[in-house]
Amino acid sequence: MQWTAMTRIAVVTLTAAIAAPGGAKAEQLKIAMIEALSGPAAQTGIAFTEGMRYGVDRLNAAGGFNGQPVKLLEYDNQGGPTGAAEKLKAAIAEGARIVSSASSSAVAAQLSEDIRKHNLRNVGKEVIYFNVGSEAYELTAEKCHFWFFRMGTNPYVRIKALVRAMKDNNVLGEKIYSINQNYSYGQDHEKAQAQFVKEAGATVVESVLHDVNKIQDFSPYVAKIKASGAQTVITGNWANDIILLIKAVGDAGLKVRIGNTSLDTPGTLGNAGALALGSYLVKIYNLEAGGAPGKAFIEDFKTKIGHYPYSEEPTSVFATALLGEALKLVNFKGGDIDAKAVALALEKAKWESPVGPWSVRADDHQVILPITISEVSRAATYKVDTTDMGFKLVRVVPADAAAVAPSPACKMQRPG
Amino acid sequence: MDFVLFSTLNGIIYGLLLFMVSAGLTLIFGMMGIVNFAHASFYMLGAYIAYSLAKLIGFWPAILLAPLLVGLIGVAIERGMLRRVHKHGHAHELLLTFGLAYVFEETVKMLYGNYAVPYSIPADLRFPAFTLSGADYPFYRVFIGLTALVMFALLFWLLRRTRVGIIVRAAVRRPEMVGALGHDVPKVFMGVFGIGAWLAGLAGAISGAFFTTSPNMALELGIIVFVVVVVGGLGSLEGALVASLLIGLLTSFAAGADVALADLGGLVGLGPAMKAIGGIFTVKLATIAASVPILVMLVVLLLRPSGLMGDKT
Repeated sequence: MQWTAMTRIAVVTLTAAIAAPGGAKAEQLKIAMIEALSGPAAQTGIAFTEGMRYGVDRLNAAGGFNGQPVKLLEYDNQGGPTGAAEKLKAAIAEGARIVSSASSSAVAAQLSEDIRKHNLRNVGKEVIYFNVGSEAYELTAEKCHFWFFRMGTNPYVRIKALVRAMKDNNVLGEKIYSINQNYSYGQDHEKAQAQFVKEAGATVVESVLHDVNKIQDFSPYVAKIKASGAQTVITGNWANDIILLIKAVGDAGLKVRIGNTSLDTPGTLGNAGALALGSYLVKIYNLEAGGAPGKAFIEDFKTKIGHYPYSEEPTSVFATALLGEALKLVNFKGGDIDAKAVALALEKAKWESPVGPWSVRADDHQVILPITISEVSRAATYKVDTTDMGFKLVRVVPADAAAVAPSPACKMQRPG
Repeated sequence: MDFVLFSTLNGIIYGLLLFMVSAGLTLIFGMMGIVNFAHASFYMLGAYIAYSLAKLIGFWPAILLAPLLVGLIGVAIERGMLRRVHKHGHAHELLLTFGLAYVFEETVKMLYGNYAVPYSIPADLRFPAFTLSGADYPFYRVFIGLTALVMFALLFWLLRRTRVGIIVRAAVRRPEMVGALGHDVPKVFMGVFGIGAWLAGLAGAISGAFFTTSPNMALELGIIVFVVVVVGGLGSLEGALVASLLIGLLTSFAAGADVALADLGGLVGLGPAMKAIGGIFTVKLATIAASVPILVMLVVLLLRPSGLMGDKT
């Protein structure tokens, strides 16, 4: 392993050394995906990575970039910021000009800061951080910078759409319970839920933060939910924290509706069973959405990757498609890649997804995108987890309606 | 009042579940002097094997058979691996079990995938045992608790009231002496290891259906189980029971407690000042419920390093 990596570096350096005096040589665009590919967080990391593979394959099917195929480098960050920081160095050494990650907001905060510093110290050799799923709001607020792009939703975008859809369908209720995980992402959810529930004229009767994916038994929290008299539980919980929450709610015979962001993680419906029926999900994409182009996309994805893009995959697929549009706006004529030009092109690019247009807002580099609301139902077209349930599309929220104004805390310094 | 009642019940039953897994760990430590890092993996294996078997032979036979298979795996590990490295000392045994935990986790991922598998209790078991002021209390939860109690009674009787128990307890204290008296000490060790694995497998088979069966379950429970064993006193079965219940109840009540340090400070008039400082003073106990066991362990280690009921120093 070590040896091959060393050999590869040696070969690359050697080739570079030989090629350099000869003048311009086309630089291959390398995208590094630094994700959790092992350990507990891998279940989310792998889905994002599969979407990335599919997306990059499509770029290459359309002719690649700079006269060469785009290369996807995959690195396992082992679930944490320490691993990610190390892998970032390796990725930059391998010549990656675009770095991506998706799941953990802690990893994203580390990579964003590392890349900001790298770019300050290496003018002309900048790296773009093309994040496709970390939701912590600070990344496009206090910590926003020119090289960071969030190509996914954030809690404010998701909860705004979710609460409005639930209100319009008369399933929001008057009393809302807000339960979230205690870290940047969950704290943002708590704030977003408080804000949009209030706007919808309902009340958050109680809100609680709990440890992340450590709790085996949610029944104490269910006892609190019951005591509060809430009709609806809104939560940004993911993985075990949502499965166990639904199970505990159902087992206590509590009649509340759940609004969530991650019910589509494989295994969630299978585990929650009929207890999940009626729950609401807010997500970038729904397999039922998008008419004929949507159908074509999910079938093609299934042929290439082996399953439908039913959870996180569409985010990285759509993000790379938008990147593809940006790359069409620049031309390095087979020379070196200028990351700044690519970043500026990303701000201008537009891509039509099966459910509507994607574009990047220049103010804070948050992608402006349509999102979907679904209900767990037996009437869904695509059933999941070998159950008789799936996600029935409730509505598609258009990009401009889903967008939330940029944070005043984002003071982006653009390169001169 | 309801809240207190619910939290108590939930705490006791979660505690009893912890006991089923930690009983084997503490016995194995008491006897062989090694912390078995792969112990929580037996819990995971129990759940996965029961999930596979339940599809073939039904739920009840599966939760009986799966723990037996896990017990056999335990026996095989003791006989085929641990015994071989025993002569090289504890560090080697420790590393071996550490490695095994990884091997089990990755094997499960290869066979069943990265996500939680849909292992759940049959629909006809999904009924309330009783209703407390409007909220149902699931029967299956009571069943988990009862199983653990029966297991404790059985183990206690076996260790304290039978000849086998005498030999086992003696082998824990003075293995050379027991060997000199003509008993097969390695076989005793193997038996205890097998029973420990069987118990953890049983806990997994039963509770995996109620909670989730995922590749992370060993990791999630593993830490808590170590805490239980340390708090209870390494090697002490009664200690494990007391510590399990203590930690179960504390976690349960902490999750429901809406108090922060600032509220405590408020009792002596420091409330507003502490709230102004923020940070640790305004963190609600409910937020850090899952860390409470670790805090308990710290306190116990400081005040009583041998654990609540441990007699070794």
